[in-house]
Amino acid sequence: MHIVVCVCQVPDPQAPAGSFYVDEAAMEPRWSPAAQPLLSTFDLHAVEAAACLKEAHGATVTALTVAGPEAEPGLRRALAAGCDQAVRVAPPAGAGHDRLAIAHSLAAAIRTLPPADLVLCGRIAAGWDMGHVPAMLAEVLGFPYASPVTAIEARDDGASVELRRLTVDGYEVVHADLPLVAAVSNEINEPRYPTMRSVLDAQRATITVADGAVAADATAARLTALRPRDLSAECELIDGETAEDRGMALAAVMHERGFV
Amino acid sequence: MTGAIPPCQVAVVLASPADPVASAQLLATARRLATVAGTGVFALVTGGEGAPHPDATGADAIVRFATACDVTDPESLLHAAHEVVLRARPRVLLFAHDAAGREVAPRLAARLGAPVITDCVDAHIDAAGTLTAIRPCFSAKALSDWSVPAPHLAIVTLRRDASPGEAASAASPPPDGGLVLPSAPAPRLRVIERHAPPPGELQLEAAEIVVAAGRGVGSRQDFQTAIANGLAKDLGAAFGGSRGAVDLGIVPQELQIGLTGRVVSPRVYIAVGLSGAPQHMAGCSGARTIIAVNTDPRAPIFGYAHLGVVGDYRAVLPSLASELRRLAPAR
Repeated sequence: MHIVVCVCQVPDPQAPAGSFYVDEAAMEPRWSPAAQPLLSTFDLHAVEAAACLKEAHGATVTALTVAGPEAEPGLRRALAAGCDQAVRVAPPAGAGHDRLAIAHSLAAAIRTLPPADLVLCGRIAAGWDMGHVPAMLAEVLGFPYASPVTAIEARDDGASVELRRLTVDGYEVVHADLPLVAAVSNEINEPRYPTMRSVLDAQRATITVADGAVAADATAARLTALRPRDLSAECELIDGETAEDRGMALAAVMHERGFV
Repeated sequence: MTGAIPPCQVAVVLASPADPVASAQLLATARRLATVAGTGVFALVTGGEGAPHPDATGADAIVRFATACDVTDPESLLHAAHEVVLRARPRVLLFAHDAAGREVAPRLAARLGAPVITDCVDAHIDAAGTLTAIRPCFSAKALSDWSVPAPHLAIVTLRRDASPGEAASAASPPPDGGLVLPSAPAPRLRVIERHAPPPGELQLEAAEIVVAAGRGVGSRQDFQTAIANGLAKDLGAAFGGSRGAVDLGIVPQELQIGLTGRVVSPRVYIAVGLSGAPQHMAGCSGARTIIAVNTDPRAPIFGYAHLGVVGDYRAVLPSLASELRRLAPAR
């Protein structure tokens, strides 16, 4: 089985609140150095899912990204966590926010690799918070698609998988023939910490840089404004002698204002 | 039974029948866009002829998908929406930003090479016919505007708002069966089992009131007693918790609210023993009113809350609940 895991790097989503601001004129986000670039959280879970399938059934795992050389630490993190090889495709010129161009670029790179049986992605990347690429990639490749996936297991026939996907009001157990694109959610596993040995091996590994970026499409939606959003509120503190009194006073306010 | 859909309309893919509010909000937004653009609204429903579907009041016509396909099955919904776009050439196609919409909208965009804007909190059309949709990004710390000029199709998913805001103007339900679409190809994924939440457990995204637990709640036992079977039950509220509470085993993982969990927009959000990390606030920034109960007056949650109680929730919640029962005994 050949598993391709599509990954990307994002500024640390757990970085302190003050490390992010918006450059409104440039319509771009800015981060202080405190927000280190990291492999996107859900992508780490996708890498772990691939590593588990490899351990259980045997597989070759390729980590793939469409990004500049600054994304190579993320690829090395994926190698340390169980991927066998890493491929980086330079981003398409002028892609801007065109996620379909990214999906086409990933698909073009996947087609140059040995046939992929399973393509795993994280369900969304922190940042622009779109989550379009996995679904678009499935369409471009012509593969069926499952998301958000919270469990995946290869079936004995070697040509299909059993997976769990979340629905509006619960979850479903689904059988899917390979090839398949699956976008995984964090419930699927607990990503392992790479061993020192695997980190050192990953540092020495060669990252393949491939051509294949597909030009952006002019019809993508155009970003016309980006502005910071102030979520802070003026908090009205409820008075009262004891905590019980304050609970009662809160009830009165909630009742009065029609909250209940 | 086939007919033509008038061109240049706003099309709405109605949400699951289990969530009529989501469909009503889609129809209200569609009506507003259509009025500016001087066109009509049609609603796409699934489930075969005669099958029940969400109330489509506010639409001018219903387009029905012929086979008994399930609106929650993204593959058949994708096929239906694709057919509608090819036949009717709508200007705007609206989906709910639910599990199905999140998958189908970008897939359809890839299939058609059309622009897609998802998880939007608002959308409008200007005099030149340019559609602009507004979506939160960067963990709700920023808002972005995305535009698609006329006459291009724009595919948009709208985030559900549990607060009743816009309501469709009262009108009679539209005529059914303007056009019946052909059957979908056999689904490529085979559903073996379906698991719905236990009856009585409210869907978080649809809840008007949400009670959320943080690390400060202490234990799963306390969460069950004070929140799940306590305040939330009394208020008819849904419940969940922060990543921290999930990590400590206080709250089940599927009820995690935040950047990496579920996103809720209730009318009232009650945060109990919850510090208010930005990653958590990204999941509840759509709440109209946030109420915080925390022992630490310096907890960041008080910077986001509209109402705050400093104190131990073990003392605050029972007196809150009993006083609410006294004030509104009908509950």
